[in-house]
Amino acid sequence: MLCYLFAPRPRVVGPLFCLVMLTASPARAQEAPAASSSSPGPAVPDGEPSLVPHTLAGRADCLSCHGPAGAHPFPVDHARRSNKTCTACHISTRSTGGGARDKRTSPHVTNNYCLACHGTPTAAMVLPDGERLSLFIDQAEYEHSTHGRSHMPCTACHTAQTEYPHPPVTAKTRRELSRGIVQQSCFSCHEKVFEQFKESVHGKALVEAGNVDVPGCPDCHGIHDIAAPHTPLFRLESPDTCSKCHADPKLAEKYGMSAHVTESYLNDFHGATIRLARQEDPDIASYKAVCYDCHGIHDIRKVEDPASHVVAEQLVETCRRCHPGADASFPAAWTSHYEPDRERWPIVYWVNFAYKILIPGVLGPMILYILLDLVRAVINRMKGAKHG
Amino acid sequence: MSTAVETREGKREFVRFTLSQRIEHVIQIISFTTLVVTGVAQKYNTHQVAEWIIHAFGGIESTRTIHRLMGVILIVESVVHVALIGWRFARGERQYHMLPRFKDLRDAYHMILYFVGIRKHRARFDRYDFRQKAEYWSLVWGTVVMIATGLMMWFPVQTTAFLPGEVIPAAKAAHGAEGLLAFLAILIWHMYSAHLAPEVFPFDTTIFTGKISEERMIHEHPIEYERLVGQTGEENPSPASDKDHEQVQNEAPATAVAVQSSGSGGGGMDPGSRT
Repeated sequence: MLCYLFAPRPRVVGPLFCLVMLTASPARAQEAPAASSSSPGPAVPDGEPSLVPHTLAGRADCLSCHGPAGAHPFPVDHARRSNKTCTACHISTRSTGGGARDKRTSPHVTNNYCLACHGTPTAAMVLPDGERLSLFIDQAEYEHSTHGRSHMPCTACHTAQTEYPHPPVTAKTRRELSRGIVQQSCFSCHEKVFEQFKESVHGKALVEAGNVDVPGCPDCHGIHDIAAPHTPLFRLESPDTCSKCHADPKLAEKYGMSAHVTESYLNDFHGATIRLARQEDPDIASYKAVCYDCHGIHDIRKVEDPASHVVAEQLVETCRRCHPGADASFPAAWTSHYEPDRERWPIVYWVNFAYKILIPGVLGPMILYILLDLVRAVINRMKGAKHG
Repeated sequence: MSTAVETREGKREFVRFTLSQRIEHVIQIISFTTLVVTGVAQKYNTHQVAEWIIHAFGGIESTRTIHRLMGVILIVESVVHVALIGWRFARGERQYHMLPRFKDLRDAYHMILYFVGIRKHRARFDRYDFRQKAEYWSLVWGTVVMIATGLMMWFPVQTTAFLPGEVIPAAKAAHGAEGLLAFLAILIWHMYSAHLAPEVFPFDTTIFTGKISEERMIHEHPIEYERLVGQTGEENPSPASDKDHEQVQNEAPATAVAVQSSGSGGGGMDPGSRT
């Protein structure tokens, strides 16, 4: 049990905590199938992409050859990836003069190398602030996640942890640690998201002010269990995701926000529907608005921000995305997370007020009349019995 | 007025409701009940029972669809109801029994005095007593409010094209509160007068069979009875004065006329009704 043989490559041989790593080299590419059959099931597919010798090794601009008009254009499914991120997935093999290796299918170390330690449920460390941080990674959960399904290696995000022992952790808290990884890793692939996010109310605070209260990627998307954000479940659960902070009275007080936005949302048409739909079946595709349909996703701004989706001048446009043809007076149909009162939503307030009087005003006399009738019936019967 | 007297086993019965009115009542029962169940569940959707009801109706979307379908049935039924009144008017069968009169207020006052023992006798009612009129006009008011506010919520974009946006949440508030009022009013008032009242317990069948016995006519609708019988010339009209209900009992051919009278049931669906 102390010896782990990982395949196809790089192979890690040796007892736990005493690892010897044999790094990959193009020459051993053909050995893979034999090794894999005896392995405990690697997280990465067997084999590596065939390496094309690069005569132009080290050239910075990949697109000069691999652009659409180049001699060796990149595959069509790469169209949306930017030039800057080629190296996020492909390792340049400058020294060997060989081709670029695909990090995603042939990482420096395999996931099983990491899981040799991190697959132990008790693996944990204590952070400087005293918090116990579990270091356990549930392999099945990860492999089910959106990154796991595309066979991303641990080291794609944990770029500093490619060797053992790892460099020392400098973060003092869990959130600080996670921020470091977010800044370093998430945005190196999700570049366009970063462009939006860094301008948002959350992103500005995170990137510019180093605020650890605001959500980074993992707070909404999860960490090793990141699910595709386009699933019905992600949508139905999203109000809970936002509530983790926006229903927190401490954070609300600290930043002068309302802690009742979730409550008012759930009390209204959209929120009640989403809540019930989720209860009915978490895979129901409900099109009723969730928080991010109005407020935006990675581009959430303060409500007063002129670029906000929900600022007064912009709100009708936002409504129209679901309610085509909505008039300028339509947005007032939503009470903006406020409890109706005399100043803010007078018609609603007075309707409620009227019924508070009308309901007992109607039912009270009815009940009184019925009681009188019944009492008289009893009296008459008693009298009748006496006389009869 | 058409003759309203029939014979069965030697006892006389009066046709009180036409077939179309009885059908209208059944449609009201179905749509009203379903609307209340699906509506109250939506209003109190966080309650466990409400969640169970919504689940039983196949989820929130299907609960809403059923609610709206029943709403459409209610709208159609209301339009038909008004159209039938219009049609009868056009044919010259003009009747105003359901219209509120000053006498209704006097009757209500009279009944309360009777209950507390100040007056000796019950008020004498015509075709519809004030309680039935109150229920009928409450139903009219409630239906108008529910249809109007329901359509506003169903078509918010079209509504806010000519009304301020705030009417939508206001409509929601009114729809929920008015629905609750209607539900409780029916539960208390209609169940009482049509089912639980000593005279009719357990079930006043008039709105389903369309017929009411002569005893009950004399007891509960003496003015109408006298008008009908007087016109048909089969019996002398009673004195116009306030009639002692024990006398009525004595006049009535035997059997179970209750000590007290109460609603003839059904809540009077239609002012322009038969006879």
